[in-house]
Amino acid sequence: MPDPSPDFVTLMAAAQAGDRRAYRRLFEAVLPILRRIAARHPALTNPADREDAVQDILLAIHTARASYNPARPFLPWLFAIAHNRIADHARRRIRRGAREVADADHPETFLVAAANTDMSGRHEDGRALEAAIGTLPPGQRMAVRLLKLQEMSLKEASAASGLSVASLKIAVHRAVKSLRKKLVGDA
Amino acid sequence: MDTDTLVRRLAEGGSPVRPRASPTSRALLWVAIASPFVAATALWHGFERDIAMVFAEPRFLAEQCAALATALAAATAAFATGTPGFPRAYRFLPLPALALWLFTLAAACSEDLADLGPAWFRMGVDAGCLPAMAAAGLAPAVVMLVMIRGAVPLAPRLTLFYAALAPAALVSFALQFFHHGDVTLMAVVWHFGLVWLVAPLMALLGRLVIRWPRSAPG
Repeated sequence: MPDPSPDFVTLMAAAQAGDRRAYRRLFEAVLPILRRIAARHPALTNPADREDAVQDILLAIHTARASYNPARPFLPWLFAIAHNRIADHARRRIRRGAREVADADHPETFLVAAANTDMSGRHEDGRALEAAIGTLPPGQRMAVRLLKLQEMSLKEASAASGLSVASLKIAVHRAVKSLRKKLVGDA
Repeated sequence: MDTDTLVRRLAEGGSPVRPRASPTSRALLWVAIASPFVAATALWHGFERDIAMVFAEPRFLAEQCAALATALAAATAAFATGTPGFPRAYRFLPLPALALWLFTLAAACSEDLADLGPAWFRMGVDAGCLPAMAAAGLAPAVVMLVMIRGAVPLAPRLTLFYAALAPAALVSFALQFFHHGDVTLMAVVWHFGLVWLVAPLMALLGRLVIRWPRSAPG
């Protein structure tokens, strides 16, 4: 439960000093503010887009945390980052919307019956993959989520997870190997 | 990844960081590091003017004060525009000094145009000062580039524009000591023109040099 009146400056100063608990409390305290800012943006009508934008801001706060000077107020610092990231996110969303057409989900069919792929198990495949990822050890699971599902670069994933680039490379390699074994081996 | 998981992961990766000094302190530090290199270049090139005499000229003093003020204000603005939460007024901080500098330059041009007549327009290749300019500008530019790398990309083009203007103004300041005093069209084109070309070019690279890490796709 977040503190009802958090002292952002103290929490951020503690986070900069390496206090992880204070850092987490800070994130929890700013989350409702960030969600409100995202909800107000006219281009972010989809809840999933808004949550993506909020996650973008959280990553930006993490990346830019050294730029905060505890002698200055915290909220202008936060708002500057939040508005910048949300504007970027909305621009990307609008560009993508202009380029893409929503998939009507009509599978292609061919005259030759053998050429038609059975799509009925498509969602089951996704669920099977999700379940297989869930059985991985925590380090490998995180590496797969950050690098493969979130498509982060090694550097970003390293910043987000606190793991070194080398550890992430090893973890994702092992994870893919065991996923292949689980999914293909089971088939 | 859901947001709660991301929060947990980010908090777990929250290694200690040292908060950056204020933009003004960083600008002063930049001047303190860059100035000895600029001074050494001026000494190495040798003075073409009688230093005692030029210091008595109000025009020279005004030009030099304006150039130095532009360098300092541009450096401060470069650091401030790369720091979230600073008032937007910092974006315009270098403008008064810049306007004063351009005014002193225009005044010097018109004065010399009246003195020299048609000779003022004589163009040619004045490459004598170029190596000295490049040498004088190299260290301030490299130091600035290193210091600006941690900037937050809120206005990357403006940040890079000011980050390039600051060393350019500092080089112009130094140039006045090792270049003859006439401000002819040739001097304007070869010296100030080149200096002024650098800042807009650097501004175009803004988003390449200073950028956020690629975010998670939506």
